[in-house]
Amino acid sequence: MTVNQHSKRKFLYGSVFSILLPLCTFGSSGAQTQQPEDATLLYLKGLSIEELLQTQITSVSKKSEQLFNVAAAVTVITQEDIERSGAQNIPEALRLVPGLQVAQLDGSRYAISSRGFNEYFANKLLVLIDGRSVYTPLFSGVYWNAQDTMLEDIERIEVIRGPGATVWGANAVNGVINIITKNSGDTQGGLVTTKVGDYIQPEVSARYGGQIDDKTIYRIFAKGFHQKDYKDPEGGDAHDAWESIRTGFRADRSHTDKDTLSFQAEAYDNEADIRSDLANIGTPGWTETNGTEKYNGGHVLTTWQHRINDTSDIDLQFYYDYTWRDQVVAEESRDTIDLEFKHHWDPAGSHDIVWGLGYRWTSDDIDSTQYVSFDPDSRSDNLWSAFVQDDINLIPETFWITLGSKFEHNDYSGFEIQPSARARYKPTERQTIWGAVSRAVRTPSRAEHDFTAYLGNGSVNIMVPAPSPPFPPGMTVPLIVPANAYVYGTDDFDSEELIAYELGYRWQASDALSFDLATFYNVYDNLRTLEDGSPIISLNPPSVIIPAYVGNGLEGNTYGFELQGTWQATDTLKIIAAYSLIDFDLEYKDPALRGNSISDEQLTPQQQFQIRSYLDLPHNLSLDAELYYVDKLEDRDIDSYLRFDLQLSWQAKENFRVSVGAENLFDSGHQEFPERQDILPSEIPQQFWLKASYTF
Amino acid sequence: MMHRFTTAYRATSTHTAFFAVLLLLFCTMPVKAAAQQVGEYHIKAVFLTNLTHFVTWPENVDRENAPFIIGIYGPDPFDSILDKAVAGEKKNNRPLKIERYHNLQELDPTRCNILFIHDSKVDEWKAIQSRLANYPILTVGDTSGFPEQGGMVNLIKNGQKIQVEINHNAVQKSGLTMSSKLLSLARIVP
Repeated sequence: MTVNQHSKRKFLYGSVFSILLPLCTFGSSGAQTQQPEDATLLYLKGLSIEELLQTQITSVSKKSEQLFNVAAAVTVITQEDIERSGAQNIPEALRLVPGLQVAQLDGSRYAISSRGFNEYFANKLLVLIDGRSVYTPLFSGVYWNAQDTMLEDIERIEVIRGPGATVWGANAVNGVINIITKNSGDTQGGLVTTKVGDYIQPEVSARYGGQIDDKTIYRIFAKGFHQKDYKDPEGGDAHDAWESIRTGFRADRSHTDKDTLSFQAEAYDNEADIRSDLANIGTPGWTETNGTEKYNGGHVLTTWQHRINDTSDIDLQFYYDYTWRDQVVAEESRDTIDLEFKHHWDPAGSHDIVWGLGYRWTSDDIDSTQYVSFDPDSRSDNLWSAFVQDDINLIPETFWITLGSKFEHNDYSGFEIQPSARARYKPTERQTIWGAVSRAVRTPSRAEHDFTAYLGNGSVNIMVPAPSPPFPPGMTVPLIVPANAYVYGTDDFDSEELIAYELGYRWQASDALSFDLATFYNVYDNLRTLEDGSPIISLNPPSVIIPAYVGNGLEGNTYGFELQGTWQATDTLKIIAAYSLIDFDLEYKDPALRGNSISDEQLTPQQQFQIRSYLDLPHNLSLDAELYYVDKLEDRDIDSYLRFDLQLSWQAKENFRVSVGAENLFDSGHQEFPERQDILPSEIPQQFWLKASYTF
Repeated sequence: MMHRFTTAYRATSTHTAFFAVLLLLFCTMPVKAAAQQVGEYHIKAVFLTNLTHFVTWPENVDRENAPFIIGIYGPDPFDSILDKAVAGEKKNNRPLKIERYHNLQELDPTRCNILFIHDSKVDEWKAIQSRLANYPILTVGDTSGFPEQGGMVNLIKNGQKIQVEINHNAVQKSGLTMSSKLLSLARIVP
C-alpha cells in the first residue's frame, strides 16, 4: 500500500460521500429520535388508550438479569457507555471495564487481557459475539482487528472478570467477554453515520431495519473505514494504516408465542499494514520489514429459542464461521462449525437449573513461511462439551449457592473438567456478598503442539572430529559453524490450569450511589514456558540447531482487586470511578531456572485508575469526559500514561446528531506495549474527530 | 477455498464502489414510518403514565406544586423505561415523579398516588394494605391473581398484547373515580 494509493482512495471516498449524503437527506422524512427506546415510547405515547392496548409486543422483555445478584465480577458496557465514551471500536470500549488490561500496539492491533497475562495473543480471555467464539485456536488468542460491527447496533458488552469456564468452557480462564448485538426490533429505520478525524479518514456506516412480515423484522448494515498511519517512536511513519469493510444482515422472527428465531450473516475484508523486525535468514541480525496483513472472513449464525412452559425453555444455536488471514509469519484459513443446545429449567421450589451440550469442529489449512511452519499443515479438530449448573436458593431471597461443571473433550489435552461453586448472600436488599471457587483450564493451541518457529541465527564454536589423515584419529578441532534457533511445539504440552478464589461485595449505598468490589486469588499450574533443549549438531554441512520447546514449566499465583463506584450526582451528571491492582508471584518449577525473568509478569500494568463523567447540558448538548491512568511496564521500559478523552455531542434535531471528540488530550503520543519481533509498536497518538449521525 | 471471500471484494478500489452502491441502495429505499419494536414494559410504562388521566383523585389530595408520585415497590421491572415515559408529563399541573421503595417503611402513604407492586412483593399484600390504610392510592400490579387479592389494576400479558384487569370495588372503596372509558376496556374482576 503506497501513500499515493491512500490519498487517491481518500479522495474517492470524499467525493462519493459528499455527493451521496445530501441526496439521502432530501430523500427522507418521518423523523425518529436517535435512541430506539425513546422512539418507541414517543410512538406509544401518541396512541389512544385503545390503540395502546391493541399494540403487539414485538420484542422480549427489557428485564435484564439483575447484575446486582450475580456471584461473579461482572461489568456491563451499555450502548450509552459506548456512545458517550466516543469509543472508536470494540477494544477501545473495553477500556471502560475496571481492571481489564487494554494496550494498543499499533494502528490496528491490541493486546487485551483480564487479571494479567496480557500479550498480543493473550490466551486466557474468551471472547464471544452473539454466542460465536472469536478466540482463535491457532495461537490461542483474539485477533481484535477482525472483531468489529456497527457500534450503534451493539446492545451491551458483558465482561466477566475471573473464570467462566463452568458455563463457557475452556480458555475462559481469567475472563469472558460477551458482545451482544441488538435484536433487529431495536434497530428499525435507517441510520447513517460518518466520522472523520486526524487518523480516521473517513469511517462511514449505514444500516436499515425493516419488516419482512408481521412476525419478522430485519436489519442490514455496512461499515467501512480507512485509518492512516500513526507515527513510530522515532517520529517516522509507523506503516500501520488500516482499511476495513464489513457488511451484515440479521433477522428476528417471533414465530409463535413460544418460539423465536434469529438469523445473522456477516462478511468482512481488511488490510492492516504492519512493521516487523524479522530475524534474517542465512545472515545474522534482524531487518525491519514493512508488510501488510490481509484478512477476511464471515459467518452465518442461527438460534432458536423455545419456551416449553412457564418454567422451562430451550435454546438451540448453530453457526458456521470462516476466517482467512495472511499474516507476516503464516497464512491460515479456517472453517468452524458449532452446535449448541441449552435447556433452562426453573422447577417450583428453590432450584434453577441450566444444562447444555455442545459440539465444535474446526479445520485449518496453513501455508508456512520461512518463519513459521506447521506439521501437519492442515488439521481438523473436534470439541465435545456438556455442562450443568444449578442455582439453589437455600434461604428465600437471602442466600443462594450455584454449583456446576463443564465437561469437555478436545483433541489436544483430552478430557477437561471445570467445576465451580459460587455463593451469594443478600443481608439486605441493597447489599450482596459473593464468593466463588472455580477451576478453569487453557487448552493447548494448534501452534503449541504443531509449529516450528524460526527465532534467528548466529554462529557457534563446536568441536568436530578432525579429518584423519592428516590428523591422528580421534582428535577434535574447533569449528565455527552457523547456528539457527528454533522454537518447537510439542505434543507433550498440556493445559494450563487455574484454581481461582474470588470474593466480592456490592453495595447500593443510596439510589444514586453504588459500589462494586471484586477480589481474587488465583493459583496457576503448568503455565507455558520455553525450555532450552540440547543443540542438534549436523555435520554435513556443519551446522547447529539451538532448539527451545514449548513446555509447562511455570507455576504460581496472582492476586488483586477491582473497585468501581458509580454516582448519579444529579439528574444530569453521572460519575464513574474505578481502581484496580494486580500482583504476580510466579516461579519456574525447575529450581535451576529460578532467577530468570518471567515475561508473564512483565506485560501487565500493576495499577489502573479511571474516572468518567456523563453530563447532560441544556440545548440538547452533552459533555462526556474520561480519564485513564495505566501503570508502567517497568521491566519493558514502557512508561505509565494518563489518557484524557473529551466528547461534546449535540442532538441538533430529532434525527440528526453531531459530536466532536478528542482522544489523548494531555499528551501528543505514548507507547502502550513493548515491541515484539512480529509487531513493532507505534506511538498511540493524540487525535481529534468529528462524527455525524442521521436517522430516518 | 482459501480466497473465498477475498475474491468477492478483493481489489481495494471496489471498496469505494461497493460503498457507493450500498449508500444509493439505502437512499433509494422507500422511506416509511419505521416499524417500532415494542417491549412488554414499554406498553406498561405508557399505560401507567396515561392512567393518571383516566382516574380522579379526591380533591384534598391534589396539592398544588407537589409532584404526583408513582411509586414502585420492590425491584423495578421497567429499568429506566418508566422514568423516560413520565419525563415531562403532568397531572393537574403536577409533574409526574417516580419513587422506588425497597421496604414498606420508605413508602409514605400521604405522598404516594399510584403504587406499582412488583411480582415478588405481592405476597406481602396484607402488610401493604395496612400500610396504605385508607389513603386514595391506586394500586397496580402485573401478577396474575392480583386483583382477586384486592389490587385495583392489573396488567397481564395476554398473547402478544397487554390485557387490563380492574377490581372496581377496590377502586371505589378507596375513594378514587375511574373513567367509564377505562372500565370499558378492562376485564372487571372479581
